[in-house]
Amino acid sequence: MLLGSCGGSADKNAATTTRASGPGAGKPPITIGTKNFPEAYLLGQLYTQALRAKGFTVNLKTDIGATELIYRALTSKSLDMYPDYTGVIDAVIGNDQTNPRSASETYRNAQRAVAPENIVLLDRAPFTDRDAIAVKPELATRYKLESVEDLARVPAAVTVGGPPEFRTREQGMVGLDKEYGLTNLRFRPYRIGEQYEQLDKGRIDAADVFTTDGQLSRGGYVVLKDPKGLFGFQNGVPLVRKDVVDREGQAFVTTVNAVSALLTTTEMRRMNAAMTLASRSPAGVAEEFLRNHHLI
Amino acid sequence: MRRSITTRMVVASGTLALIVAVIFVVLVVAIREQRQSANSAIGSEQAITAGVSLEKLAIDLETGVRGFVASGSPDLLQPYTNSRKQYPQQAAVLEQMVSRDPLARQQVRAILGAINDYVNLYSIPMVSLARETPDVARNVIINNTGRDRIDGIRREFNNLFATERAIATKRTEQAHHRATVAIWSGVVGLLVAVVSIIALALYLRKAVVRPVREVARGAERVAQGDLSARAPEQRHDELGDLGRAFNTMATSLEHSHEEVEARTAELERSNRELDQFAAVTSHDLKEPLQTITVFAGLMNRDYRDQLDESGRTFLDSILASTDRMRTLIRDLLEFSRVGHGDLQSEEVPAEELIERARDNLAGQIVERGATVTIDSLPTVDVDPAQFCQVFQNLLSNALKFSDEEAPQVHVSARPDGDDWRFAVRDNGIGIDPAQAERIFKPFARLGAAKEGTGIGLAICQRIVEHHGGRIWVEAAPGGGSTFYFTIPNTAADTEPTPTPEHVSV
Repeated sequence: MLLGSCGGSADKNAATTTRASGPGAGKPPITIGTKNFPEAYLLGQLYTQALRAKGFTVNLKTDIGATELIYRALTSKSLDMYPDYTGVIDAVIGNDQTNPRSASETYRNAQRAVAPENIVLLDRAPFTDRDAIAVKPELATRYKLESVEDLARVPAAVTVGGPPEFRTREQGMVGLDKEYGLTNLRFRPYRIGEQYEQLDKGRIDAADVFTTDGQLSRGGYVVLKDPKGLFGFQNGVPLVRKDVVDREGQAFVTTVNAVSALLTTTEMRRMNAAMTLASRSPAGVAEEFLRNHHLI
Repeated sequence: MRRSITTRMVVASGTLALIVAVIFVVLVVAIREQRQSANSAIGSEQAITAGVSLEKLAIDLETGVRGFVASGSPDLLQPYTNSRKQYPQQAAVLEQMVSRDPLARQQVRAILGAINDYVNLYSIPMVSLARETPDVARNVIINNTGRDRIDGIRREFNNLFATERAIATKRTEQAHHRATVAIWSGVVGLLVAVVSIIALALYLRKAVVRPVREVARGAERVAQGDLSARAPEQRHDELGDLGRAFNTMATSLEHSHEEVEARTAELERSNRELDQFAAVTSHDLKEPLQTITVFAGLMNRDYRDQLDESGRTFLDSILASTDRMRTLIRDLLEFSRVGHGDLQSEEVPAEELIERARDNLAGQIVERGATVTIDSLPTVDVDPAQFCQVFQNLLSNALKFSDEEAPQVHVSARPDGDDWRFAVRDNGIGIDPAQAERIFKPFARLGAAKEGTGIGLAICQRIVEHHGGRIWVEAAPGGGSTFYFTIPNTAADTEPTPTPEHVSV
């Protein structure tokens, strides 16, 4: 009895010691936020679990909302870090009306956009999760749709379903009108993820999707090309307050960047499919991925 | 093993006190727990009330944000602004009110965390966005997570309320249960106390009262003369000590009593032997004396004239001595005869006895010119012959010891307690009080007694005492002496109680 409880106590200490030996041990807690869709939850879990494995204390606040909202939570210091996308940052925060020509230009623009508020971008991930317009294969066959501009050939009004903010963004309804001159489009707002179902049910003709959506791996949709680069470059990237980077140190940056470097579009689409189609938890999918890459 | 009554009493009292104390403690604990449970049930209701208020404030937050974002009108933000001011205080109230139950605590922490997240991560950025770019805010809020968050918070509130209600129900049941326990503890305790007291009383009766009563009964029996009575003494306590002490005393008494009886019997036997000896001796002395008397008489009748003066003097001496000897032997025989044997008692008027004695002494009375007067005397239950002897001896004595020309003797009687006290008063030479005792001894003659054997008064004493009375003499006022003797007054209808005085002589 006595021996057992001593053993238990020792095990507990050993566990604590392992965690405390990480470079993040003793550092102030980090609050990571996520936007309100599965890929965001997954990114939150990936960074959180990797940091915790290094001894950092992390509070994860999921499901906060769109960039417009979550960025304000970051600048108001309710959050220390959240993952977003380079193009979105450039357009929404930098209010950039132009379309950057490359991923690196987009990244630089985004860096500039957040710099005044003392926010830094860590390394961008290889994957890009940009908006795209997807239609059902039937519609694409019927009107020979290959790129976004082909939508002009649809005689009737084309109803586009997407998240509410898509209506007012340059890389949304505004850009579609301006860049491609598509005047026959109507917009109907949905929660992110719902648009596939709406599209399947025929309530909308086209859907604003993300290129990493797991649903796309099923092959039931046709993603229209974006020859004018309207939807830009949307590499995943963590936004961190500068004081947090200074506070948490180099190990924090290294850990986060190590995770980002592994995130390719293919991996992201696969992991998204595991969540949205196989109903696995973001935490479980993230843990499996990190284990496979020996990050935890 | 010795266990004293004191120890047992202390143990019994202590046990009883302990039982009462335990009952009291159980009662107090039950009542206290009952009150605690009742209080905590009330606490749960208060926590729910506080929770409902906080929930309303949380809903107000969302109502304010939505109203403001949708309309852009600052007025509609009012519920949000008010709620943001009030909710931290209400959150503190809820934290204070919530039960100590771990689940409830955890639920409250989750609720407060969720409200804080709603405020910091959602409402503040949203309101800020709406102030700067109302159009953007309106678009963002359509896909807002605020309502989801508030719905989640409401669900958590419902869970908390369910938890608190379950706790309140459980506590109320507990309170009822404990009230029941308290009541039953009281009832059972009371019964136990009553039973214990009765048991203690019974034990006392068995352990103390009964043994004491046994010793008392033994003492009563001893007092009534049964010296063989004994108390039980097998107990190993104070009552055993008492019994043993009593028995030691009773045994000692019994031995003493046996000794006294043995000695008395011995005395009686030797007295009887002595009387027998006297009777036999007297009887045997009579025969040679008769021979001497006869021959001395013959000598006096036939040869007196042939003797000279000296011879005649010697012969007279012989005759006088034989005469005295005969009287002496007669008196001795009489003395030994009256001391024992059954009394031939009968009711007889005392006057009759005195008359008879006076007749016997008629010669002397006349010779001395004496006067004998008699009061009115009672009828007594005595041996007439013996009492006639008593009066005769006393009268004769009075006549003998009187120098007066005309001796006067007066006989009277008066009641003295259960007895009649007779008095025979003379006007004779009186008596030295120092000699008053001695004159009743055989052959105890005073001074120059002129005649008599010295046995008369001893015979009187024997007869009186044999009748259960006593006899004594006092100097009479104005010269002379008075002989008193008592006879039990049978008419008084009381058993004459023998006193040691009567028995001992």
